[in-house]
Amino acid sequence: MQSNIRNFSIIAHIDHGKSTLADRLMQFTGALSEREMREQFLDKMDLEREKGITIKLQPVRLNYKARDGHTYILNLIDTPGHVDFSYEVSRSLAACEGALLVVDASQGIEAQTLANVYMAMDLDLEIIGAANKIDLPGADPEGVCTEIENVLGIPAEDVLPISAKLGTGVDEVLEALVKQIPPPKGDPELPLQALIFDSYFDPYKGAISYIKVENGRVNKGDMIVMMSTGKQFEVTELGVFTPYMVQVETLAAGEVGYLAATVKNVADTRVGDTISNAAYPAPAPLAGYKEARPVVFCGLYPLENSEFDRLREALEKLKLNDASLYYEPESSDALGFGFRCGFLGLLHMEIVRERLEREYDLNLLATAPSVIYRILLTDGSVVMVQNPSRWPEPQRIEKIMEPYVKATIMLPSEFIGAIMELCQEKRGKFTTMEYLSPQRVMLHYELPLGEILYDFFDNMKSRSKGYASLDYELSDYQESDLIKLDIMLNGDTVDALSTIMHRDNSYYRSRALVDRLRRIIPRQMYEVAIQAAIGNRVIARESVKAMRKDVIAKCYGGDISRKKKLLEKQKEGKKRMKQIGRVEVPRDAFMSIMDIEGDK
Amino acid sequence: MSAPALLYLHIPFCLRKCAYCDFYSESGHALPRRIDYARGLMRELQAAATGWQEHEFETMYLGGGTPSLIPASEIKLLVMRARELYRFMEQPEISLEINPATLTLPELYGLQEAGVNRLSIGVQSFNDDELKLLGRSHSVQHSNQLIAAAKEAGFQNVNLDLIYGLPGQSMAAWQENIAQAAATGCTHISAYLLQLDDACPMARQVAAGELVLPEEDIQAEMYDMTRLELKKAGYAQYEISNFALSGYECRHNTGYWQMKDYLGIGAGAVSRRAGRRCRNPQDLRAYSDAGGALPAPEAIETMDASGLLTEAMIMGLRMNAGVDPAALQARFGAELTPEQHAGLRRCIAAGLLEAAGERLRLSEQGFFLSNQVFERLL
Repeated sequence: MQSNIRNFSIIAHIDHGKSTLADRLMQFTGALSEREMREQFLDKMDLEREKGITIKLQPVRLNYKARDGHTYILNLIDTPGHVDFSYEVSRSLAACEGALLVVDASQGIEAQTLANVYMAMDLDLEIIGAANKIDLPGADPEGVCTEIENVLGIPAEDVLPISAKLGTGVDEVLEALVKQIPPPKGDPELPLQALIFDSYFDPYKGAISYIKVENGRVNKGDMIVMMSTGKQFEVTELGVFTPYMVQVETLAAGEVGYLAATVKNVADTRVGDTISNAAYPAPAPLAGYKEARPVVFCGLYPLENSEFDRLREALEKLKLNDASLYYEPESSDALGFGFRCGFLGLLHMEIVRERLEREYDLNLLATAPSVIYRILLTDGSVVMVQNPSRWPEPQRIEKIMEPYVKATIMLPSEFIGAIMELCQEKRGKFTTMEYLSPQRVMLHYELPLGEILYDFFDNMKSRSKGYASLDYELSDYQESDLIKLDIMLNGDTVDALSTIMHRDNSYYRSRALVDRLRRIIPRQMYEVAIQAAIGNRVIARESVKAMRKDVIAKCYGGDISRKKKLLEKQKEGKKRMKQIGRVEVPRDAFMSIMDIEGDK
Repeated sequence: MSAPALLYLHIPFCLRKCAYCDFYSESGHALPRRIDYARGLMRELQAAATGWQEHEFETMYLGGGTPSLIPASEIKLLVMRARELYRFMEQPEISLEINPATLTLPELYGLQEAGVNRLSIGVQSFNDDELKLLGRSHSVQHSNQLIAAAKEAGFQNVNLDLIYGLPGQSMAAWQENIAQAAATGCTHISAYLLQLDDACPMARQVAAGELVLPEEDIQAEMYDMTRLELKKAGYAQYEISNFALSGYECRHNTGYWQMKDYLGIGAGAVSRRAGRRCRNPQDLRAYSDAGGALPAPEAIETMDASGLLTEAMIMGLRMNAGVDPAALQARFGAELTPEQHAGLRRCIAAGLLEAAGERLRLSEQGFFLSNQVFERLL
């Protein structure tokens, strides 16, 4: 029955215990037996387990017998906690009527959490607050409850004190979900409107869509229509997540589940699209989502040029599962054919690259990330440049604009000085500062996105002992004095190593960069000269001395096999390098432009 | 004509494990255990003999570990027994590795009598501080005593093992080592660059920053100096790390580089016959148990004709004499691949290899960069 359905998300910062709470909810409702239970159950990707973060939302349906004697269906739609994935959060939230806000009682609210709660409030979701980790010695549940009241207006006494780890208060959470979150409003008698909030490619079943039925119902065997394209397909399978995929015959208004249809082309199940019934189509699609706009770009190249086609196929498939991914073919003199890819942020970029390598068995080289610059040329035209190697000749440039973000940083007040200094170094413009409590502060800055890409986040964390948190959204373009720095190896410019930076930083950064390259590029048969130049002017140089030693000093009968393996391993290592001219460059070199400040 | 072969006896005992070593050996075994092990060797010598009757053995080498931890009387028995069981050529080379402070003069006489005609002494360094750093249990004085005793016992052919590139070692300190070694008048010097396997204690100290190895350029200069100084003293280089007075090159090791078949006896010992390489289990106890069966060797590598040719090229190029590619191709009945040919050409162009008539050999600068060549053959 629709009135017994509750659709909700969990909003929490990384490490505040969201996945643990999800595990506990599944355990309390009996979705998983003790034997099946493992940590972070809903984080299906290995990558998520390794990094301890949630990348992909993974829905689960729980059956909960409440204290009022009724059994409720709770659809939990887990969400990622990192700023790069706020787009995914918005998709999860759109499928819900309520959200459970989880805050670490020893840490307080983080900037990103706040942004996501605001997003949920904008969507009129009912918010339930929970202060987690009350079992920790450093926990301050009362302080956190007060902070939640001050910042979000949720009465402190309504915030549930819990420990997901120990299971304390989890039953109260379940009761609150049932009591406070309204059932979905849709009408099962209206024509079908189902929102695709995620999709992925299954090698056996084809394209699988995760849907929430807003109105009407969908049955196995129905002919459906994708409202954005008008294309029609037959439903071959419907199901729900228990968390395992379990087939059902029908999904009605308010329900969340998955749908497989006779979709051949993965592009035909676009996330945010509305599915309707082909015979009785709805008059209009659901609101859907704004397209996620990539803000960070880098080149992805196969290490072996022959793998270009495999990379293209992999990107096509990944795009289905990750609507925010953008790519287009490009070529580089140094690297051959590859793709310029756009991402929501650096973590997103790192994850896409790792997924491509792991799930599609590719060996990739990533160039340093870049933002999109807006350049006014002397002839009055405007070009958007997202690849430093496409930077116009300096004499053709009238004005350069770079993207700025509105950044919100939440931190304990003792670190205000250190973090303001950092923002200053990063060319930030101070906007305002608010005290959330005597100990907690929210700073507002305008910062160039390009600076955030470098090492802002790591620096912020180290200068605040890990306590500061950052959220940002793109604001506008502002004029900046930027230059293109070229890197030459043995006199030849390597286009893939070019990078854009502020003129004031160029001297220091170019020196740090050539020094880093010197350490990353292994010694080769010949000396390698590394130079950094602005236009024709070389501003930094280093060299990698010629190799002097590569020998196995001792080799007799007993260990020839082992020595041969050593040689083979060394040879394999070379395959992971890119030959540029006569120089073998490790693929990490192309990303090294990012980490130069770490070497200070 | 019967195939030439080499016989190797592995004796994996050490007084204590050295800081830089990751070879299979065990320390702390009492004498009776070591004697049991010698009996195990005897049993395997006997058991393996029938399979190797087609071969003519040119050399026998007792290595370790520290073979001199087995009583000289047992070594004598092993040598005599081997010569009964296997077909040896006239005047085979019979080498024994010994460590300073493990043998007395009478024992050396006994070994001489048993037919051992070459000693390889694990001197490692003529500097007591360096010996301490290496975790060796002997002193320079012990080395000098043993060298003198070997001469007195009548050994003409003596090798000294030296190690360079130690943490903190200066060029001058290494030069002094070479001078001392040459001054002994021993016929053969092996000078090895210290190369640490990840598993050994010293590698951990280096990784932790407690010890610092000399930089690559210093290592290369040490190598160049080694060659120069030893040449001046009359020692000709004949392999990457080996130097000898004329006529005293180690026949056993040269046999490995020339791809002769070899039979390894003992726990952890490796054998290769044609394309099949086997290793005995590294299990001293099983080996020393007179009641039990000898543990069977495990195959660790199988090579076809082309694999053998590749290995022969790599091993052969370690020697100053280099290889005759045409002769090796004929011997193994395989051709070098186009990639291998291309790789060799590139190495010649890069000045790592040089052609001398039919032969191909490492150039002067190629020795210390020889992996660059070998990699291209794999």
